[in-house]
Amino acid sequence: MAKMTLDDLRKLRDAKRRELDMRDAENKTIQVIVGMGTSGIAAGAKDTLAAFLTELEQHGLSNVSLRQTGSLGLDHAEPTVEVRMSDMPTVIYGKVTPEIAEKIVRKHILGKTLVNDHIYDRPAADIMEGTKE
Amino acid sequence: MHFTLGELLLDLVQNAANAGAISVRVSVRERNGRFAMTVSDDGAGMPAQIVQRATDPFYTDGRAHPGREVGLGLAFLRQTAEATDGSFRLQSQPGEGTTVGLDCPANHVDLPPFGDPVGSFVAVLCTEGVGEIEIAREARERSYTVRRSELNEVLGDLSSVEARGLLCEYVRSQEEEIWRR
Repeated sequence: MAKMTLDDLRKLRDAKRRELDMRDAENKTIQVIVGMGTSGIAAGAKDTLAAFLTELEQHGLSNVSLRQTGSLGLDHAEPTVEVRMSDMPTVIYGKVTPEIAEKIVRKHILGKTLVNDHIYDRPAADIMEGTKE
Repeated sequence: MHFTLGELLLDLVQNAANAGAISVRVSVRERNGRFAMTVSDDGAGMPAQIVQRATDPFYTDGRAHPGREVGLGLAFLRQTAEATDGSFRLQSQPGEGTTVGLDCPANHVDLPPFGDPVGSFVAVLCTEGVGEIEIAREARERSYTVRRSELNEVLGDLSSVEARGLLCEYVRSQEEEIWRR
């Protein structure tokens, strides 16, 4: 690949946008948030993020928002990923390897079915309150 | 311990975001047989007594994770410097920001691999909570610089899968140019 300039990038974006304009905009409301704190990174969150990007692109889900944040507070279950979308409960998945990331895209985002074995949740509100002291 | 220097870099940039930085400058250079990595931010900074304790893995200011009693990012960086006969740099001024850096022999047997530079740089550029992020990269006497503001101007919101995919292509092309024979 030749070294791209910002102008090349702009042209490529315009070409992709024309392609995307023909697709359904329903997916714009979907957010996938990957925890990238120290423990998440050490547990392989970067590979998880890359797997989500590959899988979402492969399924043409280009308008999903793929975000990264610090720790989601579940270090024992890293890498952790929060998925927010309409018609589904907001879920934090834990121990999300690249294989599980693919499963989340196929089952949760496309199939609207939970990936049961990897569901975690934030620590209970009273526990979070206790940590502030 | 992180497996790669790219993961260590991500950790340091996340620290800068947690410190409320508006601007973060990253430099990753391989020159004259040395590897150097620096992260400078204009975040909250630390007073001298905190700087002294910041590389102690059993110390944290608790801002990022209330209740947690360990902080490992800077400790990992210092450990890497010590393991590779390199130097570790930590300068900080309250209200002005922090600079952390590693400089060591590029071919030292205990220097971890950089890992996936494209994935690491893209993740750095997509770090949330920071305004501007600049990455200056140099190796084999070739260099490039990428700035989030310029990429935002072209791609818009970098969190969309479309933008992120294009960003990967862009950074990959910059990186391939460095390693082109």
